[in-house]
Amino acid sequence: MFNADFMQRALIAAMIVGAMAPLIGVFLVQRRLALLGDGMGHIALTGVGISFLTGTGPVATALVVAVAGAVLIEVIRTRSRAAGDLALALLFYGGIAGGVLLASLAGGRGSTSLNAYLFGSISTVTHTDLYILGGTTAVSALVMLVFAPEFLSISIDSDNAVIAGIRVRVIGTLLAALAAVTVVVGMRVVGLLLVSAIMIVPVAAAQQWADSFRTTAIAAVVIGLAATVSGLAVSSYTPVPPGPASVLFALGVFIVAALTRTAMRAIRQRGRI
Amino acid sequence: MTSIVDVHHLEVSVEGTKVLRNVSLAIERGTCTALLGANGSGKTTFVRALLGLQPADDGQIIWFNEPGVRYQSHNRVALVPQLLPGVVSVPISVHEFVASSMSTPNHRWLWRYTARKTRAARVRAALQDVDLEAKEYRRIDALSGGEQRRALLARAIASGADVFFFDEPLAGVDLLHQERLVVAMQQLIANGATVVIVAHELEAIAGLVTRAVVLGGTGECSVLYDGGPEGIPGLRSHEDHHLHEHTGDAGRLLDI
Repeated sequence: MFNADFMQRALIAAMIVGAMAPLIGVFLVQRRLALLGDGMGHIALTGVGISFLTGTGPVATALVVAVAGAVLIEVIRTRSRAAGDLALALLFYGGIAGGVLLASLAGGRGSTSLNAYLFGSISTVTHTDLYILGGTTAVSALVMLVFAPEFLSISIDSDNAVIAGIRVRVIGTLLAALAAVTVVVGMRVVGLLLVSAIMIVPVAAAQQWADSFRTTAIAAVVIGLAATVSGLAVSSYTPVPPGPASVLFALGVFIVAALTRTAMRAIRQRGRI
Repeated sequence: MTSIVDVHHLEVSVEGTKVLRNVSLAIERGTCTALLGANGSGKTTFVRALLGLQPADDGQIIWFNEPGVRYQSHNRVALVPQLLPGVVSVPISVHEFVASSMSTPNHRWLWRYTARKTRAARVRAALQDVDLEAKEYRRIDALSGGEQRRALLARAIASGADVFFFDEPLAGVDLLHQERLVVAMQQLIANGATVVIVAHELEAIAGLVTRAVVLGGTGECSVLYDGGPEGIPGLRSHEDHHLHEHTGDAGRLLDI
């Protein structure tokens, strides 16, 4: 099934997303920003709309718009705690409305293929995409490797991070930018509306059983990879787009993990009595 | 004596309300200062302002006699907060929590190239100092309240600091764990550390404290008392505790 050229490209893209998204997501969940990726997906949609209208590459354009959006979000979030929530909502709705509007303006081509960006499509990953994805992933992985201790530090305790001399705003913005990059990387295979689920759901499943940050991250990456690859497989046999299939797979893992954990607890407690 | 930090005419507001007025004091190296005052008197705000976690309206804070230099560049200061920061969403082991203070930019490169073993040994040593080595690989949120306090202290010790700020270290901790924490603080002081304790319950730390600062003034200056602990009735032994209602203002100003 992975013999066809386009399937191989899609598989590479799916594996990149499956591994990278939960790795960023584990920090977002700890920072209580689980919905940040969702918002960035909305903003990236404006990037896709712009690319339809101007004829630029959708991945590259969405990347620029999403990263700019990430920086803007972090500025809003840190400057005004109270109004931040509302400002973010405005930005997110503006993003999705803008994307759809621009795509419609671009005519028939835009509005019909918008679905592929919203929910993912296995046939849309081009060679150029793959180079951009590979490049951005390599850079992201490097940033992750160098700054993982800082990301962990600001995620656990931002006051303590300030005292330790970490520039919390800068590192927080960097993390948000990485999340934006991941959203765009996942746009092709999982779709903008669901890519943030691949950031968050594997983490939610992994933390049911893990007892450290490290094991949570590793388990989440494994679950994320399994979800995107099996989503792709389902999508190649059925008319279901890969995004929903991947997310439902991850949700299934979460439900099983949560149920077994609850059951184990109940058994252990009964044993105690 | 050299001072760790000099504060000149510090003014701090929290959400539009002036909490600290005209606070000037210096904290000397190797001392143990109790920062006292009723609820809302600005003790915690004062510490947060010193550490740059709360912006000041006015005044000057000079760390290590180097005006204009961030105290962070020395890697010498640690805060031991009252509680774990927020609810832990992702599981974090005690080891990871304690090690998180070692990933500062200043020791980052050292941190990277220091053998894993050395790093782990430092975490273990800090955990031993607070008698928590048995819980190293437990989830931090699975520890009891008293154990979490000690984990917070271990994190501060592992950071390599020699200036420690404790925010209500004994509040809500049972007597046995209070004693352990006091012993740990005693060890820090014996090793030459500078300690500032924001406190409510005074008896337990009376043996450690060399100076007491009482905040809460509503007039020109927020500092009500600054001097030896003997001037604060609450810091006396249990037997003459009842005296405090007959002594001067300082006793009444405390919430004891």
